[in-house]
Amino acid sequence: MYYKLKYIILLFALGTFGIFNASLLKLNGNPNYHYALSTALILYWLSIIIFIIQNRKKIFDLFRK
Amino acid sequence: MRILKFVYVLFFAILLVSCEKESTELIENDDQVFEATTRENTELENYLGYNVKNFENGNFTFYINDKDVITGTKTGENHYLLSNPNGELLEMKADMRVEGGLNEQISARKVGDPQYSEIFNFSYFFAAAPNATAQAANPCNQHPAGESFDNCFKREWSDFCEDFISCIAQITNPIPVAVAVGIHCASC
Repeated sequence: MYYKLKYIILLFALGTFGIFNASLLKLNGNPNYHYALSTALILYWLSIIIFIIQNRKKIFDLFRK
Repeated sequence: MRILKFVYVLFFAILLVSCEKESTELIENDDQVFEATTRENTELENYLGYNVKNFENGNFTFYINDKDVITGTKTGENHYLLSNPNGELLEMKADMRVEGGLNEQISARKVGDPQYSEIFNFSYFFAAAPNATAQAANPCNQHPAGESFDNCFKREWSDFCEDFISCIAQITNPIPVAVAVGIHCASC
């Protein structure tokens, strides 16, 4: 399964924006902010993990040089 | 498939650690309620509306009914000098018991009066202004009156990391969190 870069970037942006929104929820005293923050963090890290896995060869080569 | 498994494990791990803390946990190991409030980022701080930083310097701000502000200074062990909204100076003492929950009796007297009289029961205050409801109604009520943006930002930033999931978010994504804190402080 290969994901295009634009979808990974979209996932990353969604995660980052989600973290921002969840932070606002927390600051405004919403007791259920955990769910929003957890989901946003999962999206954020998922995008990074997928990117690393798909480009692992390039990343390894980068360190090898 | 391995990635999918990893994502599932990560998801459940985050769900497990992001459970809400019981407010009583925060005070079980403390003999005094005011010692508990000196710890940053506690639920108790939210219940009482203390400004922790001010409290650490011996002063604190106390919100009652989300609007009346009482400022005070710690003068001794469990003894405090308060100034109520009418400008009267009060001496206050706090007796706390943890017996299946928080039971706090706060008594006060005017400066110079010989006897203390009970002004409110802490457990009643707990029930009357639960954390979530009070905060959700108006989150700005927790802010000390006349607090500058700079102080607000520093306070909210240091208070943000109060559980695992918040700390991870703050460490890995400081910019979105900082923007949210900035907007929050600017709007109060």
